[in-house]
Amino acid sequence: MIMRRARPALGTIVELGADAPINARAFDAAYFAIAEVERALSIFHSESDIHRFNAAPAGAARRITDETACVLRVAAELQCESAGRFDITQGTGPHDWSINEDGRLFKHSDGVRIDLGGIGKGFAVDRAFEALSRALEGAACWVNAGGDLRVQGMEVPVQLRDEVRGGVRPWMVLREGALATSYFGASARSLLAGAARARHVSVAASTCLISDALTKIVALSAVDDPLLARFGATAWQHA
Amino acid sequence: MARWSIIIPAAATATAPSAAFAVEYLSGDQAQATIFPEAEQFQTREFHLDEKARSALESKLGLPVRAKWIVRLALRGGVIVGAVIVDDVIGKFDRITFAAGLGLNGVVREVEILAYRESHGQEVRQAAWRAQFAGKSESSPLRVGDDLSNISGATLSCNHVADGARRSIAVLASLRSVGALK
Repeated sequence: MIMRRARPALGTIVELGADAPINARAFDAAYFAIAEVERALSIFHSESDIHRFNAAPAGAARRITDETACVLRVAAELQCESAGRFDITQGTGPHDWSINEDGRLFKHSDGVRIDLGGIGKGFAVDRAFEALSRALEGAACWVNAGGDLRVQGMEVPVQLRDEVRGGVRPWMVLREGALATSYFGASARSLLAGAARARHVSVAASTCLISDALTKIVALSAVDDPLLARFGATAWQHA
Repeated sequence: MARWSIIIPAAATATAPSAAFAVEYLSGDQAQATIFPEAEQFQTREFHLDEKARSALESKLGLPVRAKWIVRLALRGGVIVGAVIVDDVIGKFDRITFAAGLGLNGVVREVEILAYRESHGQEVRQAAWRAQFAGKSESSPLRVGDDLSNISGATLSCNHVADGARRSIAVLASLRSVGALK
């Protein structure tokens, strides 16, 4: 018996699904996890770690939530592995932030600004997925936030949306792991600095945080980018 | 090290024609019970905003606001504890049905998506195609989970859902402030 729920969150519609007879509270736990990530990472939330970092002067150091620390550590790894192509400061100071082992975030220049828009949504989907999976004791389930899908234990048919004309077409079946799809075009919400033309790409990886981040890299390079292999990921470009 | 597993059909081409898509998550009755689990019963009542209230809401929200609203009142012990509006908005390519609830203490409750549909842009522009859904949200049968498919695409446009929910809450707050929800 498939159960599904959908609520507006993360600036999109977040759908949860489970192949188990479940209590509605399992879904609530997943939505609660998303709200927690939004509180920690949003640049619009005045109490968020990221908003506070951006507003602070050079030299500031502050203990951050486990959620934020987790994302920033992966962001640092992606930045290093991609030789700077992945940059959460968008050029305002790629080397002007650092995080230590105790989860303290340091700011090394006044001008550096962090924006986790490129990976925050993927991370939120991962957290929601983990909460749902825990509540279901590992039963088959999925979380889909439009462009970011995470699945375990079941075959979920995936349809690709036509971003220009509307409608969907059958594309693949995901049965374990994460799939991110991004469309970068003139009319799209996601704009990509440096992309010469519209790009519509998907990346499969073990987590949404990684697949979400890698769609941005692939959109600027190619589906055979060597970085993909480093993270055990595969990419597709759509016509 | 790849910890993901997929199956791509041989004919995974971009030439496959696109199709319409629809998922129904909750009926209006299920949504009201989800938003107000403490309620013992619900009553449906129709309200008409007068021109002054309507135009005040329009200028406050920056959105069109119609006069007629169907409100689902949540009752506990014979007392109204909250109210729910089920409404539709047009997403990027199609209609999305949602339910928004306001507690009579003034606290906004959950917003639930009842139905999501995706069609060709061309179909959306055809009024006849859209008309088949007219009024459906108020009487949708339970069809949760009869279509497993998930859409993978760029962020689904949710601004309209946020606007629609904001409007429903504002209408409920307006009715509450004039003592209509009693």
